[in-house]
Amino acid sequence: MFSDLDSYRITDEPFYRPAGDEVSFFGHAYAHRLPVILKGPTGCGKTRFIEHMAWKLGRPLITVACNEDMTASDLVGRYLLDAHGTTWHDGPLTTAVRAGAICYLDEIVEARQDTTVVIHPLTDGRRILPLDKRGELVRAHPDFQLVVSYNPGYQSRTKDLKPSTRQRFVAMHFEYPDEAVEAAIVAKEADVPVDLATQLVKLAHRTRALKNRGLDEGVSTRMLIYTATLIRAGVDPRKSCEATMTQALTDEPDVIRALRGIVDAHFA
Amino acid sequence: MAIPDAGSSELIDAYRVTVEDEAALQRVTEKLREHDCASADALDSTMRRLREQLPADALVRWILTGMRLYPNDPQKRLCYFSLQDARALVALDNEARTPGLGASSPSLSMLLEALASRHIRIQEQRLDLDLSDPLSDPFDVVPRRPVLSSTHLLLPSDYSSLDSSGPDLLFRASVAHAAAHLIHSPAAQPAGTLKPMSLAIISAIEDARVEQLMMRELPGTRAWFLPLLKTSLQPDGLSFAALVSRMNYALVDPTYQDDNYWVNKARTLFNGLATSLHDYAPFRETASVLANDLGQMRVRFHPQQYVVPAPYRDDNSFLWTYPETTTPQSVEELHVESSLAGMSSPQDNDERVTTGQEVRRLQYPEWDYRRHLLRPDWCTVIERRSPSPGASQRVSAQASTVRVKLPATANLTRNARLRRQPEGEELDLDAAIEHTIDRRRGHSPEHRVFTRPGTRQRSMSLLLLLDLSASTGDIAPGEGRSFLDMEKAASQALVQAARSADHRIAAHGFSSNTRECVNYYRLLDFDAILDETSSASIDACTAGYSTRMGAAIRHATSLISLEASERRVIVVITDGTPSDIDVFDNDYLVRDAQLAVQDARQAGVVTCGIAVDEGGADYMRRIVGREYCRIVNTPATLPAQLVALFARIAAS
Repeated sequence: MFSDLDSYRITDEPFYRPAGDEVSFFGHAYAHRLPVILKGPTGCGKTRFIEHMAWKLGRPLITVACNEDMTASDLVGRYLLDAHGTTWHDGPLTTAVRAGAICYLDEIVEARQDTTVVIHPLTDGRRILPLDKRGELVRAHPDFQLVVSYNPGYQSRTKDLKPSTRQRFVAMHFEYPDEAVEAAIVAKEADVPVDLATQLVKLAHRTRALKNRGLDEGVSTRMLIYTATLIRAGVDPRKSCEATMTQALTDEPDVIRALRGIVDAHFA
Repeated sequence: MAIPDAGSSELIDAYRVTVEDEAALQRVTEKLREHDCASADALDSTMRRLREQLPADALVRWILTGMRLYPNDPQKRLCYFSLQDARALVALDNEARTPGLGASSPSLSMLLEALASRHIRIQEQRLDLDLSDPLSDPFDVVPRRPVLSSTHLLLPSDYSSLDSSGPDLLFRASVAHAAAHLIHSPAAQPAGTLKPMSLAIISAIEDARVEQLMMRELPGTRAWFLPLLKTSLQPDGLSFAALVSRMNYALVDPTYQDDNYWVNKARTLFNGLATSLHDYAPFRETASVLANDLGQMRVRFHPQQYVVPAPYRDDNSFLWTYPETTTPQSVEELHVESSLAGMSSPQDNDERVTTGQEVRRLQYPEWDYRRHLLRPDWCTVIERRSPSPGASQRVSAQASTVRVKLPATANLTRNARLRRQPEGEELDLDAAIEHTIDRRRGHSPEHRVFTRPGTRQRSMSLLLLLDLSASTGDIAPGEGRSFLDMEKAASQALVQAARSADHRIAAHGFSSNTRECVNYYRLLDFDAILDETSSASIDACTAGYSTRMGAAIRHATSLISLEASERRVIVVITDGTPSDIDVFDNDYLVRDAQLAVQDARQAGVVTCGIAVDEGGADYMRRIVGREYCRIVNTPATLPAQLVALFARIAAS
């Protein structure tokens, strides 16, 4: 199932503009194979950061987007039927453990808590993964590292990470970068002039002020890149903001009106 | 400039406001008859049609619009009121389409917060018809302008179609202008011995300066300011207000040609400073020069009649402080309003709240954190029958309109395994064997060979514990109804949704008057049938006294412990930190409530809290713990937050 690890290797450098010393910090964590939590608001660059680090460290990156229906066997593996009977298929986690990849569980709180406990033996000194259905104990490859991400932000979150899970990780906090850096990122990613990018970043800052006053989260860096991309492609700035910010952020009529006002104020 | 009458305290009651609107309408029509009998007759004949289209307050604005349009022309006025005039129809249409400030204020307040990066409350400034004074004339009242203070922005409700094509643009421009002041203007400068005319000119130049800065930062706001400045422009006028309106417009629109020397001088001087917009002092000097010129030109200035020409600009009381004796009324008004809101409601309510009939008394301990002592039998909880529905005439109209839907709360269970599934965690052995047999026999095999866990809803009992203390009777900012009304509406909605999803739910309320008397109302019990009587008893409860939360939680815990469900949850809804009149240490009741919550948890009862509080509501986080706490900044989202909290409880 996951035999061809080459497809998980990142060959071209993913663009990542550090906002602080996170790159060297992660390097240290990896050198000691400490499991890492990346926490921060949606679209602030967590996934891009881990791609960049996997590229920099030369490790394949196996990403699993966690969801409510995910079970432990979706991570670890399961028996399937074939012409000769049953065969075991490794799940993405097991593949990473065997091959020494970085396994990245994106939005881990989306998975149910009973699913996430399977990572416990991997995240302490033992570094093992017991496959009880198969009666096998997989010892982690020396290069294997586990990285998870989650967003502590929204109030609407119905789940949280178990204390016994979160204490096994080194936690790195991500925020939206400061104005100049963020504008540079938007300008580079969407290939737009810095002036436009700066204007959009200012807009984003104003929406972030509304966090917890009707909005769960403000406009993210990723959204800004979408907006800028559409504007570069010739879409009217207001329309592109309407589609990528206003409507994307909320369904509340009052909030939509407020966001439209903010957008309107930014474009002549 | 706006002078509130004594009746403006009645603002706090949404119900009375409607009555007031009707009274205002009656007053305005009477006054119209005194002024102009023919127009009043015309209005009488069209009244029915007008009432069908407009509520009373909008109709008052429409009549005022007519009077302001044609102050000296009875013939045209008659056309207006008999709906023969095209502008009458346009104004009518405008008023009918106007959502009103009430509907826009949540979005405006968000917009203001985003633009000014701080929280400023938006309030409606109602038409100040002094109904108690038979001599006051609504048609003599100068149009009102917004009032800005460091905490509030008051927007007038008598904007009419004369001011702008739509109120949306006006409100937005007002908000942007206020934000510009908040960011760039030095507030409360001493007015000292400056003459009123100088103050007006300095203020106008300051308005233009901060707007320039705003437009530089947010280019889109130009399209909000410009049309309104153009509407208020009096191109040929030579009065003070007309000259200011010409200057205002000239400073914003470079293509505008004006033939007045003074206006052009203002423009040249202002543009000369365009590179140093952030510097307040030179603009003030320039303004003094311009004011001086006007003095020499003998332009008359009447402080009582002058209002800032542009309807969206505030009255500039934000910029100045006056010597004690001449404090502008608008500043006082803010204090008056808030102190009344705080004072009047407990007084009316305390009388009503004592009517609940006593059912039984129970003693509960209380935790004294300073002595580290659990004082036994310290608080007396008195269970009372909920006040009879007749006790309160005012039933919240919105209560029935809120509908919420609970998310599905099914949890996986290992007890129910679903067999023969197309996908799943493990192979279903029987199905796998049949699959292999079928294949060997050459039949086409069945591919559903997995098992996975099924889902099941866990039984839950939920007790809503409502804070009924006096402060909940206050009108929530921008909502037009009290927090208690919203609390009731939200709990009604949750009760209905939970009952229809087969959860057991009860709604109780509490208030306290010293430790001797913690009133506890079982508004709706777990076994009570949800019908009109029970929802009326929730609606009937009134606000009064204080918030001794710990004792109420202890009693609620003992009640919910009788429930047989797998999960038992208390949800406390409050609007402020626990307090009581016999407690002087702010921390004392918080610590006690904290312990009550911990004890409940030991007994297998989870306590969650929702605090509707514009401040951080840190106390709630401390009482129930971060993960069981929700802070609601905008009261209108209370039902949604309740549902979200419910979802969290159900999922954990």
